[in-house]
Order: sequence, then structure tokens, then C-alpha cells
Amino acid sequence: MTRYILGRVIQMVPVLFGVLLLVFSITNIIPGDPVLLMLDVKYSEKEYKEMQAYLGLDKPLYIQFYNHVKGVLKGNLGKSIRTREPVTKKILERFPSTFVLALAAMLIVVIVSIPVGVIAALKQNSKIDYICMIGAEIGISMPIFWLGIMMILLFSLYLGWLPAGGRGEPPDLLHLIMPAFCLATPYMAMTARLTRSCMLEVLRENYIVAARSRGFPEWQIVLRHALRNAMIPVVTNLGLQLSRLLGGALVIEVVFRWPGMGALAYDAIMERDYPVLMGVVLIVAVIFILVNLVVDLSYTFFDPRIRYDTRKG
Amino acid sequence: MADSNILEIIDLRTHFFTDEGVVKAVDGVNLTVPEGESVGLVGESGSGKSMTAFSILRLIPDPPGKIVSGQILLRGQDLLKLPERQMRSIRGKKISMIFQEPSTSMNPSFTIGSQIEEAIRFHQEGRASDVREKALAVLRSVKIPDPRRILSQYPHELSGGMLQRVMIAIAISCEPDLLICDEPTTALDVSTQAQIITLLNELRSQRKTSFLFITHDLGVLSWICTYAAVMYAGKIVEYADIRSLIRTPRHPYTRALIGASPRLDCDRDALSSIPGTVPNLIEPPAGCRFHPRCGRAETICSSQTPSLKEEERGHWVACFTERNGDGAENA
Amino acid sequence: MELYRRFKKHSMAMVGVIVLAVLVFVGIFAPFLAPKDPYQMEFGSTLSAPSLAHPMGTDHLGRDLLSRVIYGTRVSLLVGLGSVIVAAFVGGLAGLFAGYFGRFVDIIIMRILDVVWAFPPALLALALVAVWGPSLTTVIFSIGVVSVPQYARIVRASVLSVKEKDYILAARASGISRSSIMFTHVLPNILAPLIVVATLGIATSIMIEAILSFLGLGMQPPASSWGLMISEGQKYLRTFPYYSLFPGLMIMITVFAFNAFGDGLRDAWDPKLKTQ
Repeated sequence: MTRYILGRVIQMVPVLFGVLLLVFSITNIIPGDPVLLMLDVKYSEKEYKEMQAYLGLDKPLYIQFYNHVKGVLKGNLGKSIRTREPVTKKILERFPSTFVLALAAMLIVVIVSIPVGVIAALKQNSKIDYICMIGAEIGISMPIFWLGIMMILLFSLYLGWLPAGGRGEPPDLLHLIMPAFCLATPYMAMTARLTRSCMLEVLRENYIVAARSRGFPEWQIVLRHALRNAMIPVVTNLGLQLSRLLGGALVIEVVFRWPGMGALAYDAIMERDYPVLMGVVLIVAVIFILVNLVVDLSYTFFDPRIRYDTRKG
Repeated sequence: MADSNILEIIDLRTHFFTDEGVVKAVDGVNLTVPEGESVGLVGESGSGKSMTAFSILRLIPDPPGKIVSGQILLRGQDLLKLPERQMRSIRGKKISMIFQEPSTSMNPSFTIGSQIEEAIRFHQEGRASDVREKALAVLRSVKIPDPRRILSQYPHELSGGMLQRVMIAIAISCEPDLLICDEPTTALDVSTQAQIITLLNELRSQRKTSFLFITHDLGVLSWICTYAAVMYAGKIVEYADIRSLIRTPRHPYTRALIGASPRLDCDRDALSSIPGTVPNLIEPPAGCRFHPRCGRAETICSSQTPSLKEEERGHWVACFTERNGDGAENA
Repeated sequence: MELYRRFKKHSMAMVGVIVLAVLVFVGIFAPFLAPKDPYQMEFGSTLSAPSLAHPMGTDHLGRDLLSRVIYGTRVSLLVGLGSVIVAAFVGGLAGLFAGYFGRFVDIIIMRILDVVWAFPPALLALALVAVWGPSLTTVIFSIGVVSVPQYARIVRASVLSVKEKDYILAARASGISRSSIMFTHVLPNILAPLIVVATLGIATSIMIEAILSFLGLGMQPPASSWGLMISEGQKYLRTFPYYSLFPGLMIMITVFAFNAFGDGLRDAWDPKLKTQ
């Protein structure tokens, strides 16, 4: 067990290193001289050299990368070209908003999709099943930013029920509803489909037949015997989706002017403030890797078979 | 046959409605299990013997399967007419079943203890401590060493033989009248098989439980059963007590089965050495379903279907050639 | 034929195929089908509601929206197909090498792909376009790059399972070279899963292109990309909602069609894959 956890953590290190290297490379290939961006229009050769040294850009690339990694490990993601504020500070300011949004979306996914998937599986090939699955197919096919715009059109502009954007002052639930729902939509659809197929598969297992042969009522078989086993892949997938939600949050935050990391990244793109953009990209990737680790380890909680299995995942 | 029957199956038909057509897995089966006896149901895989067993407990997956017609009488009460609710009180309480693969027939997510206790609690009243005691008692009765430890273990931690003992423990925990065993030893190695068979034999003599024992293994059959029915392509072709079935088989298929197995107690692939294959059950051969593989087939065999007739006292056979000739030759 | 029969039973997939056929037709014959020049501005009639002359209305520069939506089909299909070809080629080769050679080749390739996989696809594509500068080619390549891991994984898994099969062992025993085994035995076996993933991948790529263009880092004006049109239309949402409505519907229909087609193919080829 301990060996398994340790193995997974060690496995993570090269990937984290690769992520750092990739983001560093992208930052360095981006056209435009960051030194020039930091200087006034009129500058002397001496000022240029000083700024270059200040930014650490006079050293060879591998030293720069080494310093970059060292900085990141200390929590230093560089400085914004526009405002000269530390990127870390900017991201930390925005992180809670994105976290709340992602969590709310996840909650909607869990509350809606799992019951829908289970019901669709139990009523396989019925009208309810077809409606749920066609709904899911549509949910997956909709661009979420467009869904957001259409919801703003309907609920804010026409009906005036919900605020069109922002988080509210102070932040309130009403502002959260539409962005969270939009962000959740494709994941709701995917999770409902996955729940259904996992459930169908488990219901065909021998131990379900065996449980039936003992005379247990259907609800007991579904809730106690089938659901728990069917949930193992679904829960893993939810973990992965939580980190993928952060990618979707980018575009949702833009549509709803939600003051999170996504909006920060968008503003950075618009202002060509690449250190900020790359900071966000890096953080999101690191979160993904960490969430993945947690999900893998949580397997051991849901599936007793793995607890004793020390093989690498 | 014995005076009273615990189970009587009359003209049972279970069909599966698939895209390719209607699979007549069980097609007019008649079978009786006398009180306290052990009846074997033997046949190749795909002959419909497991589906007969699943039909008794009404566990046929629907769709695509459906019990089309027939009667299944448990002490005279037709199970096919019971509402689902009442049927549930039969399952596990009056009729229990153990399965072919013990390792996949236990829920991987729960401990052995919780699965045994679940079954006991469901069919019997009792306080929590009684339930645990009862669980320990049934585990002891199937001769599991260190039952207290086993209770807190998960299925993947036990061997196949151990798991099958646990399955048997669950099955007998509510003292059923009839125990259906669906190839309970097929997935086990030979020495474990012997242990399980011995255990089942002991349980039967102690508890007076009746058995319906499904197998494709004639060795196992002769070891545990008092009566045997031979099934071929959805129909019973021969039924007799085990001695006369083995010594004087009357149906050519039974004879082929026995003839193909040089030593009854070890050869497990006997059935594969009969020429030809099990017929397609969507469009079975007309007449006797065995006639394309039968060395003694006559013209009548391909046009008319023989019914099960009592050729000797207690020896039922469905074969035309057996009726015409005297069938003196033995295997 | 069996394949066709099973596919035909999948009614959603049949709808998908028909819609796809129409979309491809529209894409190819856009110049003949579009009633107006999609770049032709008419300042006299900006943001006009749907009418006989302009069935979907006109945009803020007076361009005919229907024509722009029709030309948008081209962009979406081109980006979808192009990026999938890039991803399937690179990912396919990577998976083939990783699966076939195993050991450290496998470890290195899979770790590199894990790195790419760690980024949300849309976000990494965005960063890549930021580096390369937005254009049709860079959009195609960026989306292609972020999709590589999927193809590599599926191909690797198939190669590993095929590798264990008896006929591969037999081929090796009879002294046939490794590379020829790879192409004669492994490739045909992985084609089916690859095509399924590619079909579903086109849907994802189209979606990412829409996101990139919506955020301003995809197709650049005056290109008629659906994502870009939704973004432009957002500014006139209150007065002229059609501007965002129609391009979004088109994205939905297109993505739906590719998904349904892909699901149908997968179920027809291998019903067991359904749960994955």
C-alpha cells in the first residue's frame, strides 16, 4: 500500500518536470522581446543590459530554466509584464472564484448525472432511456460558451431572472447559477452516459444474478450491490473531469465576466501578458496532475481489490 | 420414481428473442426432483441445462429471455404464476442456488461476513448478534477453517474452493428445501472438486435437502446424484436412476456420452469427442434433434419428434430406434 | 455487411451520417450554395433581421449571415479533419513505437504524452496559437498537437493486445522482420479503433476551434468561422440575437453528427468498446 502510493508519487515527478519544461519553452518561443516590453520606448544600451540582467535573461537558456524551476518551487511564477505584479499573487487572487465555480459545476454534475444514468440503465431501451441519452448527446455537442450566451439572452435579457455576469457584490448564489450550469453541461452528459454503461455492465455480473437468487428486492440489488461497483469508474472519471473543468472555466468566465483564473488568462492574452498566461497554464496542469494522483489513490478506498495490489497503476 | 416430488417441471419452454432469431434454449422440458433426492441434469454446454435452472428461480434476463410456457411446481405450487414479490420469498429461502464461478459470484466490494449476514438477515428475524453467530455457524458447517477471520475478508482474498464453500454457506444459511447447483465444481481444480462434492454429499444426508445438480461431467454426476436427466438441445432425452442410466443407457446420445468417456471419474472432455456439434437452437433440426449426429438414425427420426416415454419402470427415453429394437447392447 | 447491418440499427448514427453528408456537400459547394459573397459588406443594411433577401439576416458590417454560416462549414470541417490527420499521424506513430518496442522507448514516449495530457486541450492549444500566431495552419497544428495523446494511447493499447496474439508469434518465429510484421499484422488490426477515435476527435477539434476563435486566438476576421461569429454576435445580443444563434446551432449540429457517427461505428465494430 505504502509502496503503491510512493510509486505513484515518484512517477509524477518526471511529468511535472516535463510540464515545467514545456511551459518554459512556450514562454521562450513567444515572439517579442520581453526586455523591450519592460523598457520605455527610449532606452540606452546600458538600460537594456541592466533590465536583461534583472530579468535573468542574459544567462544561457539552461541556467534560465534552472532558475525558473527554482522560482516555481518557491512559488515564484515571474512578474506580469503589464502591471509588474507577481503572477503568483494575481493567480492566488483569482483562484477562489474559479474553485467555487468548478465545485458548483461538479456538484450539479453529481446530483443530476448519476441518478439520470442509473435510471436510464434500469429502464434500458425505454422511452426514458432514449430521452436521457439523446439529451446527453445534445449536451455534449453544445459549445458551452454559446449555451452561456443563449442563457444570458433568455434568462437575463428577456426574462430578467438572473444576472448576466459578474459574481455579485458580495458574491451570491444567483450569479453562480448560470455559469455553473453551463460549465457542468458537457460533463453532466458524459457522466450520465458513463454511469449508464457502467451500471448496465455491472447488472450483468454474476454476483448480481447471485444476489437475485437470494431473493433480495430490486432496490437493494441496485443500490447496494450494483451502484457501489458501478461507481468506481464513474468516480475516477469525475476526478479527471474536475481538472478538465478548469479548462472549460476559461471560456465560461469570459462569457459571464466571472473574475477567475480563466478571465485572468483571457485578459493576459488580450494584453499579450504572457507570463500571466503561462502561469495560469502551468497551475492548471499541475492541478490536473495532483488531482489525478488523488483519484488514483482514492481507488483504493472504493475498490478493496486494489488495496493489496502493489503493482504500478 | 419416489412418491412425492419436491419439484416438478412440466413442458417448460424458455426462449430468447435475439436479433438473429428466437433461440429455443429450453424447449419442452419435463423433469421431477423427488423429495430428498439428488437429480443430475447433464448435457453439453449450450444444451439448455443452466437455463432450465435459471427458469426455476425465474432469473432469466428479460429481455431478451422469456419463459414462454409451462409449469414449475414447487410442492404443487406453480412458481410461474406467483407475483414477483412472493417469488422473492421463495428465492434463497425455499430454493437456493450456487453457481459455476465462485470468484465472480461474490460481490467484490463487500466482506464475506456482510454478504452472508445480508442473506441471513433478509430471510430471518433476529438480533444483530444472533445473525453473526448464525453466519459463523454456517461457515463451520461448510468446514471453513478460522471462520471468524474469513468473515472480515474480501472475496479476492480467498481461493476458488474457499469461495465456493462460502457460496454454499450462503445458499444453505436459510435451510432451503431445494438446492440448485449450476456446475459448482467446473471452475475448480480436481482435488478441490472432490472436497466440494464430498461436502455437498454430507450436507445432503444431514439436512435432507433435495438437489438439482447441473453438470457436464459424468464422473461428478455418478458421484453425487441418485437420478439423472440427460439434456440435448433444449430437450430431456433420457431420465432414470443413476445406476441404470450409467449401466444401461438407452438413448444413443447418452450412450455416446458414456462410451466416449473411458473412465467416468476423470475424463472431462468426453462430450467433445462425439462427432458433429450442438445444433443451432434458432432453427433446430426437424424431428429428433440428435438425428444428424446419431449413428442409428432412421427415416422417422428426421420427420417426427420422439416424446419421453417410460420404456422400463423408472427409465424414460425419447428415441424411436429404442422403441423398435430391444436396445440390449450396453456401453 | 454484418457491420453495415449493425450500424444501420443504430438510428442516431444514421441521422449522423445523413447530416454529415449534407455538411460535407455544403462545405465543398459553398461558393454555389451561398446566396451572397460572404465578405461583401452592405453598410445600408447592417444587423437586419431574417428576410427573403437574407434568410439569417445580416451582420454588423452588412454581410449576409447565411452565406457566412455556409462558408463557416468549410472552416470547421477543414480544421476538424486537418487536426485529426496531424494528431492521428503523430499519435499513431508514437503509439506504434511505444507499444511495439516497449521498455524505455515506451516509457519515454508515454511520459512525454502524459505531459501533453496534463493540460486542458483548449488551454494548451490556446498557448500554442499564442506562440505561433493565429492562422488556419497554426490552429490546425495546435489542435492536432493537443490531441496526440488520445491516438497514441489507443494505438499503443491495440498494439499491445495484437502483439500477444498467436499469429504475431508465428510470424516472428518464421523469421519475418519486425517492421514488416508491424505493417502487415498490427496496422490492419488497429485501424478500426483508430477510425472511431478519429471520428470522435473531429468533433472535439471543431469544438476547440470554435473556442479558440471565440476567444480571439483562432481564425481571424474577416474569416467566417462559427466561433468568431458567435463572439462578434455577442456584442449585439440584445438587439440582434440571430447573429450568435445560427453559428452556434451549426456547431451543435456538426459536433452532434460526428459524435453520433463515431458512436455508431464503435458499436458496430465492437459492442464491447461501448463502455469506454
